[in-house]
Amino acid sequence: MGSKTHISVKNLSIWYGRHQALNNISIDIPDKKITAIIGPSGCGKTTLLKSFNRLIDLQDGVSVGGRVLVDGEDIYAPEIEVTRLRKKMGLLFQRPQVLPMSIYDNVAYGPRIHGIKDKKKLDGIVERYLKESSLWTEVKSRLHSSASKLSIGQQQRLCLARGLAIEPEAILGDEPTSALDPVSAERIEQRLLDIKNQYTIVLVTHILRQARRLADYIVFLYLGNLIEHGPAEKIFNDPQDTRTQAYINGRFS
Amino acid sequence: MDRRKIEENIFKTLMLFSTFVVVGSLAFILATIFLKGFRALNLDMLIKTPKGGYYLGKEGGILNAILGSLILGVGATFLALLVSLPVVFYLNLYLKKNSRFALTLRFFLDVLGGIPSIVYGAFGFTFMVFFGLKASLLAGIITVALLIIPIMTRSMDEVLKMIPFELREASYALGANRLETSIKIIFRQALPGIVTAVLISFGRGLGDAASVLFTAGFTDYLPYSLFKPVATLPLAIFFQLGTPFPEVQSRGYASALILTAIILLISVLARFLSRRFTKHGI
Ligand SMILES: Nc1ncnc2c1ncn2[C@@H]1O[C@H](COP(=O)(O)OP(=O)(O)OP(=O)(O)O)[C@@H](O)[C@H]1O
Ligand SMILES: [Mg+2]
Repeated sequence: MGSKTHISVKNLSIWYGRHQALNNISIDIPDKKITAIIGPSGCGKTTLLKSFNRLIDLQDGVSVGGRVLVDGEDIYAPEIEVTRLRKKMGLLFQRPQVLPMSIYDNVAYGPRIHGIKDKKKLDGIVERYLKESSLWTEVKSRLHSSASKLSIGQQQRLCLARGLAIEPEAILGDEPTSALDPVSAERIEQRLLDIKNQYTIVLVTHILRQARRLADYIVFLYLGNLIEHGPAEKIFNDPQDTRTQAYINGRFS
Repeated sequence: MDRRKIEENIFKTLMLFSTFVVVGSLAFILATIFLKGFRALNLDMLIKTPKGGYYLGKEGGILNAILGSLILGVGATFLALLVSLPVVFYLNLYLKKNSRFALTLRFFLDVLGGIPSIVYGAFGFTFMVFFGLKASLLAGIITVALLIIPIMTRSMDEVLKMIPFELREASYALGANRLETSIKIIFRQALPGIVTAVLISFGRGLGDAASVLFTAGFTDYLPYSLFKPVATLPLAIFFQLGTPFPEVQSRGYASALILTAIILLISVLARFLSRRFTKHGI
């Protein structure tokens, strides 16, 4: 593959109560590449993504078997500090979820929590990441007004800025463009492509065309099982499994 | 007319009628206390303590009860808040949504909220006797706090439950812990609702007579010590209306008018404040 592994999933199984959502998954997610997780609704994409920063812990009655290594460290080991792990990953949700505060405070929220108090430094961070998510010019004159007043597309870019501001190593996106209009979606996609040599990006997507456009590496899940994974050209042009073929050709979704 | 239209009209009439009952009874209550009380109402009522003749005075005012009620209400609300806030955050952030403990706790709070206030009064009294306390402002504050804790906790609980789970996830995903999420995100988002819950509980505490009957006692003097009895508006009304003298009775209605006005003011304030605080709300 020519790239080193950033997140390594080993025999991961996840249950919600008695319902098994993921069954014995093993994959290596490469560093500084875009990996797309694809598969039909309910196959466990979100579950897999949220297991990378242990956001899955918040769900009722969830149990996890197997291991997830980030930078070679088992993140489910008891001595792991979850807050430190989560700081390594910026997460984008399907629907942008802005915090109930100003635009500025949204971006500064993470850095403040992780100990940055200096006003000048915060100003710099806010400006830098709003620029990096191409929102700066639209909001620079109203940084202290409510984030909830922004349009949905702007909110999602704000969420990207907020995620980048904690200086993560990886960006996790759970269908981050599905609630957006085509123009906003395109802008998010473009930003992801622009920053992909700085971050490991894992993208859950329903949209095959998006996976084709963005992904270097594809993971195909079906009913909680890992069916096939590999470089994007390989999966799209020469899928091995009949279920992958069927999905890629749009025979089920 | 066809059947569906008739059905629709019947239901519309019923709804209108019920709405009228609600609005009408409120108007009727307000009109009654106003008509019966406004002649006795004067500035003295608001700024003087009871004086002259009769039981509870035919002159002077009820400043003792107004101040007593406000101080007791504020004290009890503050005490209740100290208990309710942690409970509510524990329920919503530290316990899982369907944990058995959370369900049990909510059930207990609902039961406590349904207990009549006279029972709280009796409990407070037993408690006082046990500790050798006399009827006092402090005993009243504690009893009223107990009375409003379930109401306050459950109404704040409903507010916190409405906050989308994704908002918490967003905060946790940035590496915040539960305390930071509670204070910086959830509290902020819930503030308008919390303010409303606090003011509603305050109003409830102000208006309750049975819980303070044995515990706070009554006095003609202004409140001056936590350990001395204190007058309250509901009891002033109760005693004034209970006398056989028409002058004092109409003063009772005037007192009721004052209490109602205070409660009304609190409701308006609650509305106003909750709108102010929604500045950055999502
Ligand atoms: N909190 C939960 N409790 C119980 N079951 C859950 C929970 N979350 C997800 N599931 C179940 O686990 C399975 C995988 O869910 P997941 O959300 O990971 O799927 P997904 O691939 O992201 O689907 P979609 O494309 O619709 O978002 C589904 O069958 C779902 O019903
Ligand atoms: Mg999903």
